[in-house]
Amino acid sequence: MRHVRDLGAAALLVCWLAAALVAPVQAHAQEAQFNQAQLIRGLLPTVVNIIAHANAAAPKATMNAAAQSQSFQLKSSAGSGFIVDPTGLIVTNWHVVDQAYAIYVTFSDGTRVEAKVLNAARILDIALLKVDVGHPLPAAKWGDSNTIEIGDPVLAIGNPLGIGESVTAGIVSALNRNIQDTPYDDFIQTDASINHGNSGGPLFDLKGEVIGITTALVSPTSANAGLGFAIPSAIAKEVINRLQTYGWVRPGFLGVKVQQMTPEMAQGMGLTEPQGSIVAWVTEGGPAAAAGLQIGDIVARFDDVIPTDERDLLRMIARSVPGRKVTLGVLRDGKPIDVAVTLGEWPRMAWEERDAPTLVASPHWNVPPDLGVQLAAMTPQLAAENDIPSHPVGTKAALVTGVAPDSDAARRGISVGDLVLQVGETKVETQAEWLQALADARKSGRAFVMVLVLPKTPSEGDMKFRAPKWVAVRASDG
Amino acid sequence: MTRLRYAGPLLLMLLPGLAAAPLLPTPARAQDAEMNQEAVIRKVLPTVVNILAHARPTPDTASMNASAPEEGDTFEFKSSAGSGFVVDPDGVILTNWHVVAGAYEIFVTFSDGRRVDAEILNAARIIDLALLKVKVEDGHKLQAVTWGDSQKVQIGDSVLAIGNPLGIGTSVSGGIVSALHRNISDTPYDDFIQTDAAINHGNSGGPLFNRKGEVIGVDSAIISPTAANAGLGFALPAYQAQFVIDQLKKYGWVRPGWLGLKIQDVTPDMAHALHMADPHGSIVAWIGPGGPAEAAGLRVGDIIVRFEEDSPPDERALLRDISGSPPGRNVTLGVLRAGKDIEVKATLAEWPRMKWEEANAPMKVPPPHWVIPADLGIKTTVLTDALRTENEIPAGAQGLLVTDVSHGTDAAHRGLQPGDVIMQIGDVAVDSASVLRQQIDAARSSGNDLAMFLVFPKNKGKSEFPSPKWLPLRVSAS
Repeated sequence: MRHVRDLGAAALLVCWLAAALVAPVQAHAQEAQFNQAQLIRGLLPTVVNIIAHANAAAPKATMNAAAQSQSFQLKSSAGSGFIVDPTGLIVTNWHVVDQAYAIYVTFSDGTRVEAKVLNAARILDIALLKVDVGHPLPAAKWGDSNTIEIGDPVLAIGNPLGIGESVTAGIVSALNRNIQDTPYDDFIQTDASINHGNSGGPLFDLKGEVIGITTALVSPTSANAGLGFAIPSAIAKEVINRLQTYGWVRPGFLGVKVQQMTPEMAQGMGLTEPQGSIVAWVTEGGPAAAAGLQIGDIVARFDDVIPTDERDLLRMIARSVPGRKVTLGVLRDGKPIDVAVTLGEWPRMAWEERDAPTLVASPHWNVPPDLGVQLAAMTPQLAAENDIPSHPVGTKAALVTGVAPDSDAARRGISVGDLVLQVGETKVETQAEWLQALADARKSGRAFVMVLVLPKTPSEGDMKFRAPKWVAVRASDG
Repeated sequence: MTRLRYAGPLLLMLLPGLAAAPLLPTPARAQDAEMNQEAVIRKVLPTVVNILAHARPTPDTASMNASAPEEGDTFEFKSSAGSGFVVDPDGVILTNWHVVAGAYEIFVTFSDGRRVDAEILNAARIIDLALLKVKVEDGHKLQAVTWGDSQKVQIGDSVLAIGNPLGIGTSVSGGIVSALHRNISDTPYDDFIQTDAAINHGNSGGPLFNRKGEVIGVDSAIISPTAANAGLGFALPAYQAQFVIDQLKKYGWVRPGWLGLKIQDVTPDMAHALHMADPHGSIVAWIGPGGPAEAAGLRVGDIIVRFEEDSPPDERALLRDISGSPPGRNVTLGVLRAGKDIEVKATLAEWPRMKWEEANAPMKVPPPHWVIPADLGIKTTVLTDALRTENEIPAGAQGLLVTDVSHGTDAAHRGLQPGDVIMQIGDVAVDSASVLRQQIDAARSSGNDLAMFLVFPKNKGKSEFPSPKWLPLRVSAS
C-alpha cells in the first residue's frame, strides 16, 4: 500500500514537471473535461421535458363517451422525451402520456409548445409525439444498442421528479434484463441516477448517440437506488420505423403461447437440461397450427439462432416481417425435429385493442360567470376580523367569502379569507365590480384572466410578510 | 460562447499530436488522471471539517410546538451532524445555517481528528449560510480552501463532494454537474448547481470541488422521494457564498441592494391572459410605500424584462441582480407596461437593515440550564449474589447496581439505565452508596463539570462479549 502511494507521488511529480515545460498534462486534463461538457451541450437541445395533464377520473377505456364529462380530477405528470426527427417527432414512454388530454413539451431553451400523440405501441411502452414549431428541430442520433457492453459509460438526460432537465452519469450494469415490464423485456440496466420523471428520456453513450429509452427503475422505495432500465435503441428504432411505415407495429405472428423451460419442467419431462420454450397453447387457424406445432413441443431454435429465453423467442417472432418462412428446431417426445412455418401478421384488431393509443377527450371546463368566487365588500367589522387594517394594501379590496371547491380558482389556491385587489388593471371592491371586470376581460376573448390577490396565509419565501400575488385564472372554457 | 464551442474540437485535435506520443504514452496518462484525483483529494481533505451541533428546538419549531420545554424544565435537545470548510486560515469556517440553527454548542472536527469548540460569527439565514469561528493557536494557520469560478462551471464537469453524510465521518463522493441555475424553492435567490454525486443529510455545508480542487459550491440540499440520496443534490454556487462572506466581512451584514417591490414569474397562463407571445420577465405584484420602486414610478402589473444589460430569465435572477447591486446604484429597468416597452430609471437603496436582521441575522441560543441533582438522579443498591444471578452479571463486574435513573437527567440522556453496574469513578472502585456520593462530590469540588464513570452495561444476552465501558457524566452545571 505504502509503496504504491509513494510511486504515485513520484509519477505525479514527473507529470507536473512536464506540465510546467510544455503544459500537455494540464491541457489534457482540461481537454477530457471539455469533452464531456461539450458533448452534453450538443445533446441537451435534443432532449425535452414533458408535462401531461390527465384526467385521473376518466374511464380507463374509450368506450363510454357519456361518462367523460361527469367527474374531473386533474393529474399532471412530468416525463422526458427526445427529438428523433427535425420535423417535430418526439419519442417518449407511453406511460408518460397515458390518459393525457393535453401534453406540453418544453425544449432546453425554455420554449414550451403543445404536443399531440401521433402513434404509440402501448405494450412496448413507446409513444410518438408531434409538435409544430415552424423550424427544424435538432434530432438525437440513434446509436446501436447491440454493440454496447457491460461497463460502458453512459449519460442519462431527463426531467427527474419534474425539477427540470438534468444530466446524470453512470455505466451499463447489465444487458437483456427482464423486469416483467413488457412481454419482450430486453432492458439495458444502468447505475446512472434515474428517477420518476426521467421516463421517456434518452440514454446516451459517450459518442452522444441514443442507445436506449430510459423507462423504469427498480427500488425498495420510490427513489433511485442505482437500478435504472432503458429500452434498447435497436428495439425502439424498429418500433418507431414500423409505426411510421405501417401505422402500427405489425408484428410477426406464430399463434402460440410459450413458456420458458425450468429445471423442474425438464426433470418432469426426463430431460437433462432445461432448454428452449415449451408450447402451452396453439391458436386455432394460426401459422403454428398450420405447420403442425403441438402443445408440449419445445422450441429450441429459430432458423439458425438459439433464443436465450422465451422473451428472446417472442422478440424474434414479433420482429420478423409477416410472410417470412422460418425453420424451428423443435424437441418433440425427446426427438429433435425441424418444423417449417410461414409467419403471419398479428390479427390487427386484436393488437390495436391493446396497443394503439387511446384518445382522451379534453375535460369540459365548468366556468361560472363569477369563476366560483364570492366576494364581500369590505366593512370595518370584516376588516377587523380578518386582520386587514394592519396591512398597507388592505383597504381597497374585496374579501373572498366563498370558493366553489371544484373551480379553477380553488385549484389555483384562491381561498376564503383572501382579498381580491384587482382584475388586470381594474380595482375591485364589490361582487358587482368583480362580475363586471370579469365580463370585460372575457370580451377580449382570453381564456385566462389576471387576478391580484392578497393571500390570507403568506406564501413561503415571503418571510412571513403578506404580499399580494398575481394568479391567472381560467375565465372561459375555450 | 460560440468561440468556446469551436475552440474545443480544435484543442482536441491539436493536443494529442503535440505532446502525447513521445513523452507520455497514453496509458500513463490515464493512470495519471486517477492519481491526480487522489492527490487533489489528499490536498483538500484538511480544509473540510465535520460539524456536530447540539441544538435546542429553534424558535420557529418551538412556536409550532405548544409543549416546547420551558427554561429550567427538563432539557430536550437534538444533536445534528453537518459539514463545513475553512475559508480563512485564522479560523473561519463556512457551513449552512440549517446545520447550526438553534445550536447552543458547536464542535468542529478536522480531518486529523482534532475537535474544537466553534462559535457562530455571523450568518445569512435567508440564503442558508453561516460563518463559524474556531480558536487557532498563536502562530498556527489553518489550511483554507481555494475558491473556483462557479460561473464557469458546465453541465457534465466532474465534481467531488466532501462531507459527513449521515454523520458517519468524512466521505468523498464523485459525480458530474447535472444542471445549473436550478430553482428548488429553497431561498428567494435559488441558483443551485445540481449534481449526481451522492449527497446525504450531514453533507450540508460541505464543499463541492471541481477537479482542480477548487470550491465551486456549498452542498446545501437534496431532493428525494425518500430521506436518502436519489442522485439529486444541490450546491449553493461559490459566487453567492463569496458575495455573502465579503459583505459580512466588510459591513457586518449582507447589505443587499433593495428596490422595495414584490415580483413573480410570468407563467404561461399569465402570458395567455396578458396577450404576451411567450412568458418572460417578472410581474410586479406590490410596491412598498416609500421605497425606490415607488420613487421610480414602477406600478403593480408592470413586467420587468431587463435590469441594465441583463435580461433576467426569471424572478429569482432579477432578485439576484437587485440584491447583488451596491445600494445607491442607478439602474435602468426595461419594463413592459400595457404592452409597450419602456425604460424606468431607479436608484437602489439598501435593504431596511432592521427587517433584514430580523429575518437574517444569527439568533443567539442560550445553553440549556442543566439541572444536576446532588446524586445525579442515580439510585443504586449493593450487588448481592441473588441480584447478580437475576441480572446475568458476570463475576468480574464488581460495584453498585443501578436501580433507577431520574428521567430528563444528564445521566439518563447519556444512556445510564437501571440494570447497569457502576464499577468505578475515575480510578476509585465504587462498592457502596457512600463511596459513590463521596466520589461525585470530590469530582465536583475539583472543578470538573464531568466525571468518568466505569460502567458495566445491562446485558441480558445483548452482547456475546459483555465488557465495561467508560461514560463521562455531568456532575455540575457549567
